[in-house]
Amino acid sequence: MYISDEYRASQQNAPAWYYILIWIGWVALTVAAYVVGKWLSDGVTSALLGNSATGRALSIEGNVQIAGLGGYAVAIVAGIVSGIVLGVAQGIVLLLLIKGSGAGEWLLATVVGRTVQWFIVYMVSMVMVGIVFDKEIPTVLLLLLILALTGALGGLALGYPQAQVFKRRANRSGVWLVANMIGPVVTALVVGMTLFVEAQNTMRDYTTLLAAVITAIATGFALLEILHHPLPAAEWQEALVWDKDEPEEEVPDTVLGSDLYSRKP
Amino acid sequence: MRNSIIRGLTGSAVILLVALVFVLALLGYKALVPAQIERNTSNITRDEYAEAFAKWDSQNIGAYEVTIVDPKQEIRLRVDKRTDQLFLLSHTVLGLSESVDGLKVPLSGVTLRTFQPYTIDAIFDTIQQDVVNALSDPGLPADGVTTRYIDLHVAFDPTIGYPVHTTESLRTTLGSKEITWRTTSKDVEIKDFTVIP
Repeated sequence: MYISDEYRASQQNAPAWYYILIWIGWVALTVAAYVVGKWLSDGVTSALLGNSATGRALSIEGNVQIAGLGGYAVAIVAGIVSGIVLGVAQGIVLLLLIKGSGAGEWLLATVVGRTVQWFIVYMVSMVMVGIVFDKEIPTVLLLLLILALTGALGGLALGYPQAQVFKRRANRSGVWLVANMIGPVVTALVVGMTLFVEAQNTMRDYTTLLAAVITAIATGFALLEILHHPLPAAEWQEALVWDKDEPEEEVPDTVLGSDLYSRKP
Repeated sequence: MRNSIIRGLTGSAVILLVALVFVLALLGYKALVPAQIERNTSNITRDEYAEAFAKWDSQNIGAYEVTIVDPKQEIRLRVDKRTDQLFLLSHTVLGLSESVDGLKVPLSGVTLRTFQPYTIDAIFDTIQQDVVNALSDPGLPADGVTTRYIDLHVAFDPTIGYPVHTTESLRTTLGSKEITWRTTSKDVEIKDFTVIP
């Protein structure tokens, strides 16, 4: 019997509502952390850039202010702020599952990932300032591809360091990468379609929320998948065993409800 | 724990490098497509236009046949400047041939007004107006205002001087300035030109 099968057998005692609770907690805290992180990062960006920002650039997430080289440094600071908020919020849920040291590891991975993600989004946004697209199908598809690739790279940037935290603890850490890419890619495609239809990003104030909701839901499911495929190093094996000591009720050996055919003692 | 942190940092560095390559590709695209500038553009000046028109005018061509192609239709006309008559020789709309009178009956009324703009002299008139528009300076727009700029591109025949290909694009940028969409407002090509003795 494989260790995962053994675990699966043992976790039958863990009630479903417990997993649902983990999922709801994860989704709620992740969405809240994205929104609060954006709010704080916007504040930090405005404070650091002051009047040097010359406008708002097209971005698939957040409020990207057009600034010179200093803008890149500010993007890194904003990414760190946003990463700390997200890492702490998700770490609260994970504290029970991967203990204190794992949660600390998670916080560090999230700060690194979110900072790189912000930097990528900022870099692409800056390059796209003043870009011209022909309003024809091939170039519209090219725009959607550019935005989707930005989203995929951004999602990968956050998902990869986080997946490393799960790697020695679970078999399915790969799903974490995919789950983190879904939100930014879908948001990027929504932004692209809005640009095509409205000629401007009318979703600009809601992209963080949209990315947050999709990412939270997708990573919530990915988290459950990971919890169901632990490796021996996974700390949550203890946390998710429920009423293991309770003896199983004995089922009488009968044939169609009659015990006449039962085995002789 | 240490290994996972190192792996995470290494992976992030690789992702950042891939993003840099992606940004370089985007810069390559920007180099191929003209970037947004806050004014109209034209590949010809008023002098170059005047020079081409003078060359065409000095030919004193009395009659000619011309095939004009735009994205939707192909028109073949005979223009007789001596009698001031215009004949529609063939007309194809979206690949389907329309019936025409050919050399039997000259165009008149609404049909004449429809096809008159496709004579070389009329095309020259339009280009002259386009050059004036393209070279006019509307000044820098106010913040938050939608801007529309024209990009005019004209190629003249080096020998006779008639306009071989005229394209006009319109760049529209909404006040948010997040993206500029370019649409082709004119694309007229003279595919064939024959002087009728």
